Amino acid sequence: LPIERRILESGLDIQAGEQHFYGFSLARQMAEQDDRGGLTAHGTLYKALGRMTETGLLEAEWEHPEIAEAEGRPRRRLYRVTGEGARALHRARQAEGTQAVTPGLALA
Amino acid sequence: VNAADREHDRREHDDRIAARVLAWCSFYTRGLPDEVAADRRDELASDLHEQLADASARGDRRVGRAIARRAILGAVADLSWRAKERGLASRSAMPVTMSRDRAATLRLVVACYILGSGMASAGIVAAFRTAVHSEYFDSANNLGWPFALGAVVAFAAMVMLARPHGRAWGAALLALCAAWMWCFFLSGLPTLSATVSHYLERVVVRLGFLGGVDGFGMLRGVTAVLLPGALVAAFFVVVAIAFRRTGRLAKAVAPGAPSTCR
Repeated sequence: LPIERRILESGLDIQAGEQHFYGFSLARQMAEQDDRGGLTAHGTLYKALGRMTETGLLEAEWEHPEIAEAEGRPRRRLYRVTGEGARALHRARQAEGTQAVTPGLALA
Repeated sequence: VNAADREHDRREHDDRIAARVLAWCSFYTRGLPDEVAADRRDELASDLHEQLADASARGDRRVGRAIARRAILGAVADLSWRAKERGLASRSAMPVTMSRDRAATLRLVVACYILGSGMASAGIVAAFRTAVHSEYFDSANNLGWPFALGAVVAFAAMVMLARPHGRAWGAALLALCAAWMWCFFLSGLPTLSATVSHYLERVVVRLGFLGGVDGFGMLRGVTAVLLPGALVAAFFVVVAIAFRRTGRLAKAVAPGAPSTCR
């Protein structure tokens, strides 16, 4: 599958339980869904995330530094699939003749 | 104790790999806008931290290898992303560059007009004076036309300066004109102005050209005499090169369109 679609699917799955997702959580979710074990390469993942943010499929914001400091880790860049992103995924599935509707799509 | 040492060594090894990945990130983000580079570095630092913490929590001992694999497989995408960001940065900086070039071009054109007008005026005055004094100085008979020609060429060069495409050639012509007129000015100086001739001679004598005729003194004297004309000519040469560069830049920005450096 194209990486954009995998990101939208995994992102919506994470969003169903949490408000946002970040790079590593997304890479882990994608690896679990693909069942191939390996995490997506840094360059491939962040290039795609940047491209999708620019085109409005995702929205991104940096986590408040206080939260990261309190948890003793670097701050995360938090992403969220936008309504446009959810619609794009829905159209892609329709084009494939897939009728499945994920909980994430209902949320978006 | 051995197991604890091995675990410590393994973590250090993983940290070193993560540090190398961050060093690679610093390499491919160099020269990019600060905000873009910092965002990528911070995001990658967060990812590496999360992966190390996740592996530690799960007891995964192959995390170093996994991190290296992610970095290596993504290297081409990193470089491709860098190329795209550099393109965006240079495009956003272009209007500023062009605006600065336009302002600098305008200043140089004004300077050329001031110096060129001075040269043309001097040529006219010199031609007139040599004509007036020709009955007293035989050498002056042959100096009127070089100064008149110099003045005409200086005017023609200034007309060329008015057109963006002719500026480089106009400045180059003024450089030739400056050298030409200075040579004839020096040879006709006694005819043109006794006062200027007197002061120039004093300068030359002071520098040792006529006082103590040695090699070094002569060199200083010749340099003092030639320097003003050479400086003006060199200025016009540099300006001609600058005009040519800005013309090429304008063509590169808008291929097929007229120059925008006006």
